[in-house]
Amino acid sequence: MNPDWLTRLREFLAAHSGRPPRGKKERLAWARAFHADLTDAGLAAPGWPVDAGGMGLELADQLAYHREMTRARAPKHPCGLSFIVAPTLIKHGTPEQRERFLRPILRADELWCQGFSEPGAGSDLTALATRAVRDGDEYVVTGQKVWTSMGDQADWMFALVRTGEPGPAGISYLLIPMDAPGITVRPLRDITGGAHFAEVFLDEVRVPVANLVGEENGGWAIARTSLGHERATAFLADEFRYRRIVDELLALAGTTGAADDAVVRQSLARIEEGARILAANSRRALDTVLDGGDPGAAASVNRLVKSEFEQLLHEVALRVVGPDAVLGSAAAEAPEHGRWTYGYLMTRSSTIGAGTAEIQRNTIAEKVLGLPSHRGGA
Amino acid sequence: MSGLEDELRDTVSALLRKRCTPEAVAALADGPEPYDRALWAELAEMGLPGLAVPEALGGAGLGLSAAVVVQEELGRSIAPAPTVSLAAVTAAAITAGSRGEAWIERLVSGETVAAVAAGRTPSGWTACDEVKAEREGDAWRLHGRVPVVAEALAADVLLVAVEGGDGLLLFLAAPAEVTPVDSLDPTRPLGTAVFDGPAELIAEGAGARTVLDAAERTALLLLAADAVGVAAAATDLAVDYAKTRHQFGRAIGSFQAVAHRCADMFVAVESARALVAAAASACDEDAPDAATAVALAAANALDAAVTATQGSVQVHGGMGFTWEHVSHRHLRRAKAAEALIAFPDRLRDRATTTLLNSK
Repeated sequence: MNPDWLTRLREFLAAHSGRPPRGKKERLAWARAFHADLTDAGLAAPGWPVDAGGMGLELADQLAYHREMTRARAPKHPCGLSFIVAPTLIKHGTPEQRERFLRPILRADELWCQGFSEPGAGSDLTALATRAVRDGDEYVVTGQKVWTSMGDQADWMFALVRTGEPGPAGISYLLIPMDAPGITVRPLRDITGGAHFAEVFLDEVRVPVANLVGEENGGWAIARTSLGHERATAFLADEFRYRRIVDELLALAGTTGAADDAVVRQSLARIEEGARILAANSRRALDTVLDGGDPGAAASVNRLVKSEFEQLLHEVALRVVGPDAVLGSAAAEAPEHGRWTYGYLMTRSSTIGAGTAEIQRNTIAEKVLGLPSHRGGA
Repeated sequence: MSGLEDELRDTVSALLRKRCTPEAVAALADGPEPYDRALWAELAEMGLPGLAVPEALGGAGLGLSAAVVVQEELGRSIAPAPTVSLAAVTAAAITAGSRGEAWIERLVSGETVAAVAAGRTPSGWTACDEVKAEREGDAWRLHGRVPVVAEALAADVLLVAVEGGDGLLLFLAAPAEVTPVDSLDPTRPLGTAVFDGPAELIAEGAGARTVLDAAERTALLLLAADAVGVAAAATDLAVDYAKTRHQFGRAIGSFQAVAHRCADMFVAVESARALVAAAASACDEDAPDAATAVALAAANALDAAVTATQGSVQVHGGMGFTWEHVSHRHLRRAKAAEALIAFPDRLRDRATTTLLNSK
């Protein structure tokens, strides 16, 4: 990578500064435009290999990159899930798949949703039942997905489907166009009042075999490695975002008078500890990666700490907000446009999504501490 | 972590595994002689007292980042070694400048063991109220007593904080007498120190507060590292027990209530260790944030140690409640540490003040 990337990034950010528009649609369009420009300027995907359209930066430089983006309040990529499918394609995709999908992902031209969870397969994904039957050079897919974030906006779904025997050995990884005949999307209104998720019904949806990633029945291992990758590196950007949010909350506490309350002061210190733990742990995971090791333990710990930290952060925030915490997030008088109320409700999902906190604890107990499985056996 | 720190950890833990077995710790804690002087001599021989001291002052120059690694091992073995107090006094001697300099060599070599005789509040160290300082020309004498001094029984000399009328005075003085005091944690024995003799003034006025703060900060950091070690030992023990103890036909660790408690203990240990390491680096780099980093790391580590050691007693069931099992020694070391310098809630309050002022 040209060593002047930081200068170019700063110039880019200076040229693209400005406050986000109000309104959900306008904000989405604004974020998409930003990431299209960022990609065209060669300043997207700091950690991706250059031949995949990324910047190929060292980890230390990636940290600097994220710090710069956070400082400039650059809009997040509108589709975080893209960054679960993309590394999978980089590693396991065919040249045609990489060529077809990676650039539109970075430019946010095409949005992605993840078709993993099903009504009968949540934390235990291996129980999934959506079936794909091969018919010539097509798969015929039938089943139902749920908790599909951005399901109503996505152009593509990366899905796990059953092509073989029950259990993890009969699962394949398939890329499904969301406009294919037979797909019905029903938005699912959630706890915040908004619709972040959808149910997706698949009724004999025909998908070209060319959209299979990896081998047939080899999808489980692919999904696991891409989730592992995601978890190990996702904290890079989070660290700086949390730092900023905690600073904003401390500033708010100074203005509302909540900082004079001894109990609130204890909570604020705990939030600060949480932010520092996440930062220190993600550095440690990074160091492990840099040394060629497996950041498994640090990543598991961080995931659990992070999910509970996000919740505590917003609980404390509502105490800091004070009596106005009674207001809904859409109320005109809601402090800071209702972000803390909304965040409080939204982060209820932190300990549920992508494996519940209970599953995280099981993972730590069994995989890290070596305790016998709760499912019996050993 | 650097290779050097790994090496240090291995060396110290190998020695402690041999010399500081649970039986050896129990014999000392329950016996008349609270310290294993031969063990201390070996630790001093390995250079522990001077680990964090700059090379220019005769130390190893490895910084507090190395010292916390070693202290974690001492905590893991609940070793009765006066390193926390000694490090605090060494930091005071260094911060005091020319008046402290003469002491550093003796402290670094292990020839002199020192501890802190200060007034104790829930928020930290202050002047002790039962000691008077008298001036005779250029010389000073101390009279009075300090009821509770950690690690006084191992110490030849004490750092004494006295209110001098115009402000704080800090002395290094040999106590006339030290008598044992029953301690919640016998692995870190307490004594009452009586003073009636000459003392060497090392700091006064505003400078004295800076010196005492430096001592307290170092002590808090090492105490936090010690707490991480205790917490890790208690967690390891609980996990091992949960794998082997069977009830209702299964290992108790297969029950989620037990497994999840163990997972929480582990997460608390790992988180505290990360904070302590970050705080040690902040101190070594003399970061403006160092005091806050230490306060939060100590609060977190002290909490983690109490959580983990209480959890370990619980996982061990009735066995954990017995005197013969090591669990109560872990718990005692953790719980006493909370009250040793400053309580976690006060440390958090202190940190919050600084954080709010900096926004």
